Amino acid sequence: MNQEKEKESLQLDQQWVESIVEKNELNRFNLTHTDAPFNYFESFPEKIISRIQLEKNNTKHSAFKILFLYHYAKIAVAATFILLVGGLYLYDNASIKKSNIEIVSMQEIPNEEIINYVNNNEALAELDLDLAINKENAALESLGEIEIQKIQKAIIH
Amino acid sequence: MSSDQELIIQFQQSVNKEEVFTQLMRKHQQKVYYQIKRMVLEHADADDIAQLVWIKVWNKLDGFKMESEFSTWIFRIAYNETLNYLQKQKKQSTRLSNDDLFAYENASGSSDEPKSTEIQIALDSAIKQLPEKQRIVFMLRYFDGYDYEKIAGIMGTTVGGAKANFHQAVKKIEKFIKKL
Repeated sequence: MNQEKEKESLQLDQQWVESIVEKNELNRFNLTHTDAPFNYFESFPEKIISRIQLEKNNTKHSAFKILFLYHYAKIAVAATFILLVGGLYLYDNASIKKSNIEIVSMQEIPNEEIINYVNNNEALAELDLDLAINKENAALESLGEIEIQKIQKAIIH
Repeated sequence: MSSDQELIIQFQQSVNKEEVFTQLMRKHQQKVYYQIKRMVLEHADADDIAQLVWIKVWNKLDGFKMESEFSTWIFRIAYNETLNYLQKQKKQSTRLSNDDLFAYENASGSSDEPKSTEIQIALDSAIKQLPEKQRIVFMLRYFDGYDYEKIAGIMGTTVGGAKANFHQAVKKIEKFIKKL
């Protein structure tokens, strides 16, 4: 019943339009049967299916890339962390060992060796001392009388 | 050929999705294409939009609840996609270029009749001047013979609104023709 009413309504509308403009004139605007290129509709579904498949593959690749990158990123972060911690640990150990080596070495040296070292190097030490004294004397001799007096005053006070 | 509902159920059950979808396309592709073409006029644009529409349908068809007819649903998508496209292209359907008028003039109709009579010019202007919604409603009603409920579903408006748009469109055409 509704369909019949609608059909009637449609016919009335069409008649009304055609009373204003001839059907032939209106048909020029019915862009339905001459406007698609040849074979367009025959190949259209295939075109869409190909595009859908392409987009599916791209999505898979993207998902794979993201997964791979994410996985790779996790490994990279973990590796960096391990390297950092390991590096710090090794550096720390190396510093401790070095100082320990020094301490141990000092502690382990027998007294006799220390005495021998001092005795053997005493002469050299005296030489060094003499050199230092001569240097200072030379510096003092180059000073003027006024400067010497100033230094003497400073020492006394 | 199976009905739309049967095809959609098969699609949603993932039974030969591509084959089923192809059948749906063969049933509706022409009407979708021509609906779009009435708004954009050029084949290249209509083709682009039609492809977007069908890809959108593929992505959303699993969630389609069949509360409306499939054709209403897809025409609604086509209408919205075309509007989006036109907005992006900054085109207004009431502002047709000379090329578009040329397209209209060569659209259909007898090639024996003269192409530049006064009434044709007036009709061209009348259609040109119609706001987008009125033009689409007019086309869907007069040429496709859709009922107002279907038109309302496609346009996302009420039945009363669709009727009003159609009658407004006809009045405007009448006014233009009467000026002659």
